[in-house]
Amino acid sequence: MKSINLLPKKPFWKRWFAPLMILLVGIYITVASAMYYNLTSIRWQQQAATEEASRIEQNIALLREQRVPDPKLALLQQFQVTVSQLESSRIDWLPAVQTLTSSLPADATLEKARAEAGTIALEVQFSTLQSVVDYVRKTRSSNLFDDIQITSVTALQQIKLEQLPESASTESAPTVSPVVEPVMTVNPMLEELRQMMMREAEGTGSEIQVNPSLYETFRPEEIDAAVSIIEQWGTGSPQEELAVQETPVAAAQVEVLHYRAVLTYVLAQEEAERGNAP
Amino acid sequence: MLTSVKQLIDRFSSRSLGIEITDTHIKWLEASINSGGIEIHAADAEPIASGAIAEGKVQEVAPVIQALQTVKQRNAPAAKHTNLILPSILTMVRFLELPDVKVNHLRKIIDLELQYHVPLPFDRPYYDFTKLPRNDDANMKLQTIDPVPEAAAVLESTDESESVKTGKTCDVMLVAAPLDDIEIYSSILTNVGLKPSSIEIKALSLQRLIERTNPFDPSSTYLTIDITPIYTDISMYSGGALRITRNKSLDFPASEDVENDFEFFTACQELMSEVNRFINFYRYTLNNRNQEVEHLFLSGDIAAIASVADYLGDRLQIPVHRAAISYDSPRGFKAIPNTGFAGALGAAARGRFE
Repeated sequence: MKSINLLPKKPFWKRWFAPLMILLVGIYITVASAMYYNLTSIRWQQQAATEEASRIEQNIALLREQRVPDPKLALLQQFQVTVSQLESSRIDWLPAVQTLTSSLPADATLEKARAEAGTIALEVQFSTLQSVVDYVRKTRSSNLFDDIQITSVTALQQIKLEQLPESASTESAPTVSPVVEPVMTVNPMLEELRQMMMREAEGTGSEIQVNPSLYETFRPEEIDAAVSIIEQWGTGSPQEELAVQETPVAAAQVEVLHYRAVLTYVLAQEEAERGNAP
Repeated sequence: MLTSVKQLIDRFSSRSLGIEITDTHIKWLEASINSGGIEIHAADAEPIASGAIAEGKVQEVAPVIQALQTVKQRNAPAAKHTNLILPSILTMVRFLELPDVKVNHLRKIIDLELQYHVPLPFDRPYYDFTKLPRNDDANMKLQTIDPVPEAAAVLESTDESESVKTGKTCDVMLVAAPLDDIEIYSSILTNVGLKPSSIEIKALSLQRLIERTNPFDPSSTYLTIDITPIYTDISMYSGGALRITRNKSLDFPASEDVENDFEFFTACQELMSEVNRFINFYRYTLNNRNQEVEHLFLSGDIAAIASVADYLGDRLQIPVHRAAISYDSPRGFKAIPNTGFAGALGAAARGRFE
């Protein structure tokens, strides 16, 4: 049974107004404090970020002002350019020289060699013309050269003179004249060379026939150049300079001692580039 | 350690204060309810300046506050809530038979009843009510009032209209008092720093005391008489509920020696006649013929309470139980006899949550 209570009941709002107000004020203060704290924190962060950004910008500007080209760097760059240029212009001569010297026949003599601007000029004494052709062919097969030109072939001759009998009475032995070079036209030599090449190109049907192996090793223009030289030699007027001594001789015999060929080798571009490699 | 903590918790949790303010005294009793019954921690009384309260109405607030402040300072209560007994002369108790509906709807019906059928003699009445348990044995019929049409209209829209149609009713006890006086007494407590938890009438406090102390079967039909030097409260209980109560002005002498006191015997004769009329009214007018009064519970703060008990016991031929307040208060029991704290003890026994 419910107990009687004559104490007037306070209305809900009158009973809970103060606690609710305190609670609401507490919540408001808490929320406001939290919001203020967050807002202040965000402002602090924003201010710090702004200061950091301005500081970085100042540093960037300062660094830009300080960014002056270093003389050492310029020297280094210049050195690098020079090195690059040198590397690009460098030619490895050794393989070519090695090839050219190792390919020389045993009876050949290298008299002079000059190298400049990717070109090697040789002056070699050969015993026979066939040796010249073999040497050219052999060096051609090395693929180190783009072009091989036979600039000149000179025969070195020796004339043997036989003195008259009166002189023979005193001295029966024949007199040998000194070697004069060049003492004889090259026509016979050119003709001989032509014949050698014709022999190698025999059966091909062309006007100027070359050996297939020769054809493989020489480029068409090279062959043309060689042929033109040969033709020039073949059609050229002989220039004979026979040095005859005043001394009467009974007989004279001309003997070819060796052939001096001047050969020009143009190094292959690939080889030159390969030589540029470190 | 744990015992100390438990005692500390009990000290501040289960204690409550019962205060009864009469025309002459403020009765102060602090007690706690536990499994062993009611434990009294303090009982004291302080006289109020003459004329400060007349017939229950506070004429001068200051002397009452001063007396209450004095007794408070003297006892330093640990209780946080206070139950106050309003003077019976200020209150009015009505018993109604109303449709058995929910409490909220019942309150609307009571509002209409008070407005149209049972007007209260107060300018600003304040009331509370409770449903009473049915007394089946007695087939008790209290004052029957037909619900007014407005009340029926309120109930028509509810499921409980069936209760009205079928005539199912409930007994309702209505206790009312002037709101002005309630506010004055409440403000007196507030002024001295006490927080009133409840305000009730002495008849209900005595009923609670009997239920908690069990001097006899609380569900039996019994009578309580509380005597003060100015007026006497007589109440009838049956089936564990207050059935009727009455306040009668009787002048009992203040002295304890009443052996040849004509005034005392005159007052006793008047009390005896009033009790007989009261019982007859309850049994025959209220149609409770089968209910014999089995016990009489006597309390009060007159000095000759024991002589009154003997007088009533001899003539009514029913057991008379005097309120037993076993607490040796050095001051309060000098001012008034222990039976005078019965109402305050019953109020304190209400506790906090009842």
